[in-house]
Amino acid sequence: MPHFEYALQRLLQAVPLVLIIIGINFVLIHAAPGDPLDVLLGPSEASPQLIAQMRAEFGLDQPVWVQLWNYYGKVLTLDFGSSFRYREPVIDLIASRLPATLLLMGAALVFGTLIAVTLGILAALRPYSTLDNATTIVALAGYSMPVFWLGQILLLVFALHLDWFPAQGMVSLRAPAEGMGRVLDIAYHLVLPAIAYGIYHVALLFRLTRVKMQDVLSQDYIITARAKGVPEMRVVLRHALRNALLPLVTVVGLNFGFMLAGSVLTETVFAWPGTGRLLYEAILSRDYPLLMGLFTCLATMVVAVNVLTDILYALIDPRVVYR
Amino acid sequence: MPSSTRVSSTARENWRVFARNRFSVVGAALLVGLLMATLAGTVFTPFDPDKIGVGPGLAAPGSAHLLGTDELGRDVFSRVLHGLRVSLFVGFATAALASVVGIVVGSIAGFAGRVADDALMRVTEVFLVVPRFFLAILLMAFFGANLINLVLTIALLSWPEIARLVRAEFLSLRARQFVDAARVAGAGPAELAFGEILPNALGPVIVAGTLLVGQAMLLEAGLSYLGLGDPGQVSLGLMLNQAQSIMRSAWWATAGPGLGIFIAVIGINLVGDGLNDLFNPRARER
Amino acid sequence: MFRTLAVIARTGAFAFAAFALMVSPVAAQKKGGTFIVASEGEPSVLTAHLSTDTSAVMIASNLFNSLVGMDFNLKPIPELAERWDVSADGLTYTFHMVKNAKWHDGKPVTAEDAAYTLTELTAKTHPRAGAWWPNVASVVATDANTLVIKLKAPFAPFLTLLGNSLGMGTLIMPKHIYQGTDPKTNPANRNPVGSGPFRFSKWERGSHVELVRNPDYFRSDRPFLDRLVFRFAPDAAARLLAFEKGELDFLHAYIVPYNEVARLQKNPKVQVVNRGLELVATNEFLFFNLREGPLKDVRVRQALAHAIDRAEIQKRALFGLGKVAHSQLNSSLAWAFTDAHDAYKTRNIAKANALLDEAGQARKADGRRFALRLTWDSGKEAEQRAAEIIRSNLREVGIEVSFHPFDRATYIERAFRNWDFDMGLQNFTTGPDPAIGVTRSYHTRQIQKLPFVNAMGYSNKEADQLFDTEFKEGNLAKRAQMWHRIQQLLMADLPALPLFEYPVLNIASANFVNVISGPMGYLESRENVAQK
Repeated sequence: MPHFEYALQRLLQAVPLVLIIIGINFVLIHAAPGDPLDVLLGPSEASPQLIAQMRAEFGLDQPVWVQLWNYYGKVLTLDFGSSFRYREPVIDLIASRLPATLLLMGAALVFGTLIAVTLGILAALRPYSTLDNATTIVALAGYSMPVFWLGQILLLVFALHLDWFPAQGMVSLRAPAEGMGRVLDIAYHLVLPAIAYGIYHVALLFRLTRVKMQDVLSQDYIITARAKGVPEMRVVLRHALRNALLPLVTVVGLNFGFMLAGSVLTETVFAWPGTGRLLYEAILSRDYPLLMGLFTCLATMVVAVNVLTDILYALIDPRVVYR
Repeated sequence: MPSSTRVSSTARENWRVFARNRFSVVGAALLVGLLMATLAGTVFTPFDPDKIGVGPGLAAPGSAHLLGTDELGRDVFSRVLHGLRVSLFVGFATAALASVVGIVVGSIAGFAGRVADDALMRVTEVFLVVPRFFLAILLMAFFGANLINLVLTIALLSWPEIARLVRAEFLSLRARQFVDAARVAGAGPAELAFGEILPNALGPVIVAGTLLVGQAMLLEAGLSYLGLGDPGQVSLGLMLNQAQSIMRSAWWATAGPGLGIFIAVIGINLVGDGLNDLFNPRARER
Repeated sequence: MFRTLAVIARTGAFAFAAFALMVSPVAAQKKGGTFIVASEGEPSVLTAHLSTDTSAVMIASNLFNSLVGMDFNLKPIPELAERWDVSADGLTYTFHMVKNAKWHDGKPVTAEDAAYTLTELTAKTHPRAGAWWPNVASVVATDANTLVIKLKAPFAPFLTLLGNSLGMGTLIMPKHIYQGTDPKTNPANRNPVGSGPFRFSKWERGSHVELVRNPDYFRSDRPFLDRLVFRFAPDAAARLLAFEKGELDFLHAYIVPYNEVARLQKNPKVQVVNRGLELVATNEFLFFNLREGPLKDVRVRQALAHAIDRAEIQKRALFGLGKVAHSQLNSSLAWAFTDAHDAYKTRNIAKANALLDEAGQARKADGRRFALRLTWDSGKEAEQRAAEIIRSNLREVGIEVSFHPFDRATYIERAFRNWDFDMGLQNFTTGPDPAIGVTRSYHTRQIQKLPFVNAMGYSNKEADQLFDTEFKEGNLAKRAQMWHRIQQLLMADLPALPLFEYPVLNIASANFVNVISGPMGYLESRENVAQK
């Protein structure tokens, strides 16, 4: 079955990419100024036994290719070492903070996509109208603005002056709620960061949807359908939209890397306890194991999403498979 | 030089198409204005951007200080002008470097044999997949933050896009008639590649390169905001970082640098849009 | 009209409450509530016996008790010791401890615990022990509730030292938990069992530490709060926003946003407390690494002192609050302080340039002489601003300063454990007695890779001699003379340049009372804090 083969092909192609990403990590440990053991252990009161143990574990007294092999072994078992700052395994730290980031991205993507696709369709149906021009300008502004600046403005206006939303964090500490209350508390804290974060995505998706919809709407078979008297609603939704879905998959998939980057900035502005904020803290404390662990994990996620995107793309547009 | 159907041969014709999109013209105007202000600002800033205490701390925008002062009494407007200089430099330098590398690699991949193409494409795939921002963070944190590193890092991560575009153009152009004609007339492979095909392949590259300027500027601002920018330079991102704690009493410290980046990037994006209309024949017909 | 009545009523209530507070410091207060304190760093342990890290100490002071406390006049007041006797020759201190204190696991607190803490924990693991422990002859628990400490020579500030438990690591810890274990790695360091007003509840890494009321506290009427939360907020901007929104209740003296004070004072939801830390007498210092580079030469250091505009720093970094510091001692230590030896009071660029030339650090073709690295704890805004001004000042005499701020834990590692710095910005407490606050920074014996001691590598025989003898001097005037001489030496040698004296203010939510109840300010326990 061609789809299955294609999927397999993409997955297999992804493996060397992940290996290369891990390899980049390894290169950085050794290229960084100073003793690699310093980079792995950090300026801590490590006992001589611990130092010797780490040296053996990472095989730092052996030839480079052995070291690389050992390093791959460690990383593939998800052993990224321990964070200097928190003295806990890096993988645990990442796992504990990842849900918050996924929540933020998910909220922004879901709401953002709904808004962008709707507006994109409307704009395509009425090209060069006021609606079209207005939304185009707003969209252009949306992806020209630094996301952290937008975040600061939202904070200033909505959290401080109007006092409609909380300024920082994911939950309120004063009276920690449980159950449904906690869900609502988190949702309340989620609004501003999700807006700041999602604007870029909305802007891009809107423009792409509009272009694609326009293309599709000018195709012969659409004109035929309209001439045959098919209701406009059906024309749009059934025929046009299906073909315009491709940009959605493209944007979400290929943009994932960029989106993850945006999460660092948004989470820093709003003190949202996700992996983005963890990255910022790791920078401040020069916590190299954590920085590298985050890099590998997040980069691997990007590869995974890319592969997924390609597979989904193939499912929607079978022509891709037969290239 | 043989004519091609892809690009209008007269400048006036080009301008007409470009100008049809009012937004692009606005964008171009913004950009030119900004460039002039920045260049002039290099020589004529109202105050020394680094000097402490040229005005009272946290003064609101007014006749003395167009964008007010920050908490150390430094003139925000002067600092924004200097910061823009850095941002524009990073933006254009990165785009130029990435474009050059991308064009060379893409031409070779698109014109030379299958083997070279495959190899080069595998390489570009790796770079495309690695998330730019994170690698930039790692590189800056490990190797130190200064403008040159920044430009090299961002260019390193951006050339594959350009290469892919160039390669695609080459692949589609090389079977065209005008190329055959030139080959028959005795042109060697290098002359074919760089003399005939490349000028016609440049369209999408110019568009992508323009957009890259904006992206590089936003990336630099983001890195500076996180404290990884060049600490010796006035940077718009760093200003935004420091403005966050005085935001409550001095909104202008946030608005100034933010608007600076915003206007620069949106200007560039508008111009990019216009250029897109110029080089994309389908867009022209709409 | 109602509004006016309300205001009058509220003012009246305030006045009454203030009066009531003055009369009986802890009247019957409302029980309940959660108090959220901002901490600019996350500690690695929750006890105070391993270091003087204030982010650990501010939490530990609520989990543990000391033998004695101190009131605002620096007089010792009872805590775990309900009364004490001092022998006529000043060598024997006998403490009679309260009988009803219990550890959080139910076991009783005895003099054995106190003896164990001082001899096995404080003496062996606390970085400041070297300053006073050698003078202790013996510490013995003569019965379950009596502790006898014998000194080798009279030590004038001994009770002050014990009362300054937070800086000296003399919070009493449980013997039954620590005996036979390595005090550095005992899991109780992260899951503490103490005798204090609050019990440990949970520690969410990267977010906060939560403590809950101890119903068996030996002072049965306290604490009043149900929960005490310490929120880690390393980012100054986020901190300020959270405070304004009511998500934080307390910003301590070192993280008060000075530029906001004037505005916050007008806000009825905020109280600005002008107490707490005045007797800890904190100065901000620019300290130098004397081991290598241009800073080895005293003329270079003096040139820096002439070039740096301290008045400007005080004006801009502190927004006019606090004062310029003229000595290694804070001016509130009035009996010992003198500003007579500050030769750098007015900025003198010419002198600075001359000294630098004399020291052989000539300007190169581009006008620059040399470069220096400046490091500090990135959570402190005042230091960030001071750094900017210092850089601007020093550029004028051809010195390029590069910035290397790190988060608290990393900064402490680099500067104090690795000595990896050129210049650093740090606030040091100089009180409650200079023997406790100042000596540790400049004595040769204190050149160790430990936080907040002599990281500069400064060594002066005459100063050491004075440090070793001044505290034995019973006559205050003579002691002051010795301190004057010390200041003269330090201001000439300049191992550290005193920049400014911290304003004594803390900011808290107006919903709480007694947010500060002792001279140690935010480092004291919160047993007296209550909702309004």
